[in-house]
Amino acid sequence: MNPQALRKTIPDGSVLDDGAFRAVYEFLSLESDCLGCGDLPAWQALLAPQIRYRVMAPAFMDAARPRHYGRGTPYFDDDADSLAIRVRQLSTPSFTIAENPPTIARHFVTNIRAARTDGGIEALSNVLVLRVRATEPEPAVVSARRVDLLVETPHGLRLASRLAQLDQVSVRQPNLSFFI
Amino acid sequence: MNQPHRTLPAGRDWVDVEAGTAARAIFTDQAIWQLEQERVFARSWLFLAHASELPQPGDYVTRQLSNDPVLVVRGEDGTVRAFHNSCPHRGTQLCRADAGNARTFRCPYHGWVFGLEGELKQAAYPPEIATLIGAVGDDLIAMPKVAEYAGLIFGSWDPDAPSLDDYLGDSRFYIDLFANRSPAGMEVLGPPQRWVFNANWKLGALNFGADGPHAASVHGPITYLTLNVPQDVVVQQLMHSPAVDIGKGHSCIFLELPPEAPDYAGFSPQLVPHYQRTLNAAQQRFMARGLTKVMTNFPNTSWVESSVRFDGTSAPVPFCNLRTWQPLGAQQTEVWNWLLIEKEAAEEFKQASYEIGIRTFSVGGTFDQDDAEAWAAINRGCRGTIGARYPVDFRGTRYYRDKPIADFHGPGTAYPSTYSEMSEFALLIHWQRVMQGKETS
Repeated sequence: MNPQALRKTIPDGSVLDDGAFRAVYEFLSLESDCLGCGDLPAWQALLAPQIRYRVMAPAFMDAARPRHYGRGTPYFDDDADSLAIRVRQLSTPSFTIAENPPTIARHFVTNIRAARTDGGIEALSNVLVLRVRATEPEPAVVSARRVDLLVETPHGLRLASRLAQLDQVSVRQPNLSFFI
Repeated sequence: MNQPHRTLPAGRDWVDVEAGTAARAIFTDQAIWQLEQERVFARSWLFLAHASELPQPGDYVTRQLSNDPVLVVRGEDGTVRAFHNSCPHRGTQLCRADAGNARTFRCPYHGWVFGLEGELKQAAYPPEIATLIGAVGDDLIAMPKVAEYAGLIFGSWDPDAPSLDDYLGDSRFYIDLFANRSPAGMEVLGPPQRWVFNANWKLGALNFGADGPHAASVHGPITYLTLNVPQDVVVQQLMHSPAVDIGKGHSCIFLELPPEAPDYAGFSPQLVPHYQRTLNAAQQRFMARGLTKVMTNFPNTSWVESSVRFDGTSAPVPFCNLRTWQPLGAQQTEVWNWLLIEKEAAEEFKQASYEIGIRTFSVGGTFDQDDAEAWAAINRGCRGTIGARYPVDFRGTRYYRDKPIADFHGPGTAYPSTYSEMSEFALLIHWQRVMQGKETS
């Protein structure tokens, strides 16, 4: 999925009927609750085998003369294998310092729009993550734009691709040991 | 205007070299931070940018050195210059974009316009006062020293600083292993990542200078998950790998491949002939047997290269990470984090290396995420009234200080174990000498 997709305001494809849109809404809500409740194996089960998970940094450019170089600045660029390792790391108390005690990372998802494409359902959304860590008294806020590709399986929708862009060039966090 | 203060009082002995301890205040005290801004950061050579970030005339990037904004720009003559990114009129930050291409820079407040060499080109004032303000000579505050080594652009605020070659000294032997190992040289894979942790910048610099024992306790689990190497094997590797005091505060550690592994096992076969053609014999020995290398160039530029895989079976893919630790305050640091790759590398390999680099040493990296947590924990343990009464501990150096490796095959003084903590303590000793005015930088 091209990073330009992050600038879209309308998803590609044909209009979903109410039932299909409800399924998208339920999926994104379920996924967010898995992350917010810290059940990462349950979140991992919502991923399709071909998952490509990318979270990009934004850039502040002179609007008249922007200049991008290199391959952009990803915060995450993962596939099923690397996400499996991340989930195991973050879910095993003896394997993580950053997430033991676990972070509270509450996800609020809004502005959901979705349409049916040849490859599945494209869903646009915004997400606000409120993060509270055992060691920092002040909660931190991270927001992002997301473009997802959901595929329909016999077990329901699964996330096949996520392209997200955080809204901070300099992340005011010691790490991103949670998912967007 | 940019002259560092030369008359500040000498600091006290924060680092007890004989005892192998240091005062916790060096990681938390704002007065010490302020003094080090003058004595360390206003005098040292500081990494600004990689040449591949601004290839064309007019290309610029903006940077933050501690709390000072800096504009790095390539002129029409191809020369890279650096300026304090503020208008000499009211001090307004001049350029507010992360990167771009320009022929001039216009102050957003009163519209003063500057050229690529920092020269004032336009300031509209009545002729009666034009000789006082907005006249020729009201140019941008230039960084008096800017120089490049192996595509790495450094600058110093000190007009009397030694040359960059002198400053880097023997560390150039090791920098070459990261950044000067193929005929075409390296390029950045993208703009830098940036993130902030609540702890002192020296904790990052020392960690990469480098702290061997933490690599087992903090990174042992993820090393096991990714490479299936048990933690006790990691401990043994670290215990028997060299820690090198390169001199002038530059410090590094090396982990070697296991004896049964072939030469250059961690690198792309396509690139090995380039290494063999570019590096000298002594450097090739480090590259061929190298598994992981970690280094800090004093004060705040650090490196790490290793090879990792995430699928459990394929050959590990190398990544080359370069970063700076920008001190925002005594207890807050911003990391600027780049990934480098050989220009000669195949496109597919560049992408693979980028992905591995992002998954390991980055704000979302599986290795980095736990480091930052440990440093913030040090900050919390040292900042209180009672905590500050006690030292931090490098006492293992007392055993190793008179046991250097006699026949080490690289520059500097090497010690037989990263558990010696000799290299990171050497960085700290140099920091103290600079702070006391015994070394200029």
